Amino acid sequence: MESILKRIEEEIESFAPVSKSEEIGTVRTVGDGVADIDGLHNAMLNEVVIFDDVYDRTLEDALQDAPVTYGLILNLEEDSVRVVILGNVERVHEGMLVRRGGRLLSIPVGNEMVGRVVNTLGEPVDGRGVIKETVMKPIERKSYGVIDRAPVDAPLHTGIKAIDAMVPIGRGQRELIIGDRGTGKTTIAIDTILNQKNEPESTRPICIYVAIGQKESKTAKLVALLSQHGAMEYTIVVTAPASSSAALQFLAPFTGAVIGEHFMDAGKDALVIYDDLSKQAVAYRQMSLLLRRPPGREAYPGDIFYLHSRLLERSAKLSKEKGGGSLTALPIIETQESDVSAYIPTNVISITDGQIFLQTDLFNKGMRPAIDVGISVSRVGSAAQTKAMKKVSGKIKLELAQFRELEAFMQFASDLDADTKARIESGRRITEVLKQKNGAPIPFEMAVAILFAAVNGYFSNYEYAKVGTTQQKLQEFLLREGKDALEAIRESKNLDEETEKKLRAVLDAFVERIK
Amino acid sequence: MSSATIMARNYAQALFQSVTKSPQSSNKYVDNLLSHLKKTGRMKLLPHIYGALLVSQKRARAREAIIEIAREEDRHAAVANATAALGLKDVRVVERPELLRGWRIRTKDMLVDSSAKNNLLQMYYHIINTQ
Repeated sequence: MESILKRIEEEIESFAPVSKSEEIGTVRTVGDGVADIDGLHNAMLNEVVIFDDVYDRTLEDALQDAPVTYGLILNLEEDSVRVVILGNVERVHEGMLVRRGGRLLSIPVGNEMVGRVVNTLGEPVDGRGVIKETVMKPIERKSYGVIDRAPVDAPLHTGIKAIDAMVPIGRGQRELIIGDRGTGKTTIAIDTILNQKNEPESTRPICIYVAIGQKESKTAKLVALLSQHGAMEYTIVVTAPASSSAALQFLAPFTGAVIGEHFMDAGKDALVIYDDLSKQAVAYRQMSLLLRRPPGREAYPGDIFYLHSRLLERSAKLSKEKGGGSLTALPIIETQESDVSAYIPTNVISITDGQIFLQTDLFNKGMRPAIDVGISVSRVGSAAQTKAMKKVSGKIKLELAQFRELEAFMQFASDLDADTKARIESGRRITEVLKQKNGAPIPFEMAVAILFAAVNGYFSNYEYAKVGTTQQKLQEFLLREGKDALEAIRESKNLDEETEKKLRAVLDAFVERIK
Repeated sequence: MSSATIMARNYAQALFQSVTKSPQSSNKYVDNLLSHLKKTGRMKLLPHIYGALLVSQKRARAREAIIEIAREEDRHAAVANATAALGLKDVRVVERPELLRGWRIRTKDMLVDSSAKNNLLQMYYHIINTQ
């Protein structure tokens, strides 16, 4: 306080009026979060403007009411500009002075954001004070070109057996999570964040969760869950709740991308989850209609594809020359009645490097995570898997594919040959093995061990209805008596002869003891 | 908004812009407009056009150049700057004590602010942003 007073005193004593000339505009009309402004003839598209509500007020009034209201120019017209208001709309009124900001919309980013909850403009909303040590970065940025990228070859473990085995995700990939409401999309995303706790700190990615148009209570619950598991140590939450304006909801994913790029450019790995892009599309549609842009299919603006493509293209695996960092994206799309051929889902499917389909039927049958492995795909595939996982997952895919073919026969055929029955039994057991509770991601070495047990028939002695509990017991057993084998898998990321021998010994002991 | 209102507004805007650009031809523009309205059977739009013109006039007046001074002693400097920097002459001068010291000149799309109030506010924003 002393330093502030002294500084002000020095400034007053040396006061000599400085003339500053600047281009201004006047608010002609304002409504629905959009302001029509006269003037600003030299303003640029996507330029920030400042609504000056202190022009006609005394200094005392102005100082009491410091926060500034910003706007973003999104339409340049013949004699006016249309601006979307990024702040309290009630502060903007007709006749108000508007100044040019002279810059594109930028947000403050920095390492100190880790562990914090921020809004679309990068302002903290968790009540823990100002975030210091930040640099301003523009929210829109051109994505890296082909030359600056490297192939995706490092796995991002989600801790969910079904995904890590059959739809593996690599660092720098974009994998879409798509399904109806209530099928576990957010759960998969959150479990992925929680599982990064199992990664060594040196390779642990910084996680950014972007909550778009969600209930604040849901976001608060989520933050509490992450804090409880110690995941907030490496996570940043960006929130644009349902109560915020359409502009802030539309920009929130870009804020997440900027924060992720900050870490990627520094040579680190980052994971960004956009939950969900359907709501971003709806917000963008609302804004575009209010800006009187011509509506297209389903009333979405013509550039709705570009909205998602330029966002998702910013995820990349960078070459060594560029630092070797990566930004992995897990966009989420909500479908209506499993219609994946709708406009927005097909757009995003064509942009991403694979998709994880969650089916309501499977969810209701108790198959959780409700992943339809038949139609889920990862275009990066085994390039993003460890050698250990590759060895066990190849067999699982084949067994499950055969099981799905034979499942239909199960309904009516009473007279099946022994081989068919064996395949069906094996498929059932593997299906049970792939079930997993939410909030319980498992480290990859544990997943490898369990899947190894499944494909090598170690569960065949147990009824398939009891496979779930048996699996739990196996996990506990491995943690107690299989540490060497797990350690070997974790260190080498491979299942060589010696490691396999160790693992088989542990599994044999388990089968012997737990009947 | 009805199509008649939109049409009237467009006519009013066109007339206003034309008259603003070439005030010496204003009578000619008004005659042309009236004969066009008669020819197309749109004379009933005339009251709406009149209303829209009043709005445009009010808006233009609000955006006329104005010099605001904190006190009488600042008048000379303000007027001199307005003439030198912006080429303005015969501009309305208004006293605004809330400026504390100095002056500011506002035109339709430019603002030159040399008031103590603005300087103190900028200082305040600079301090709170660098804390």
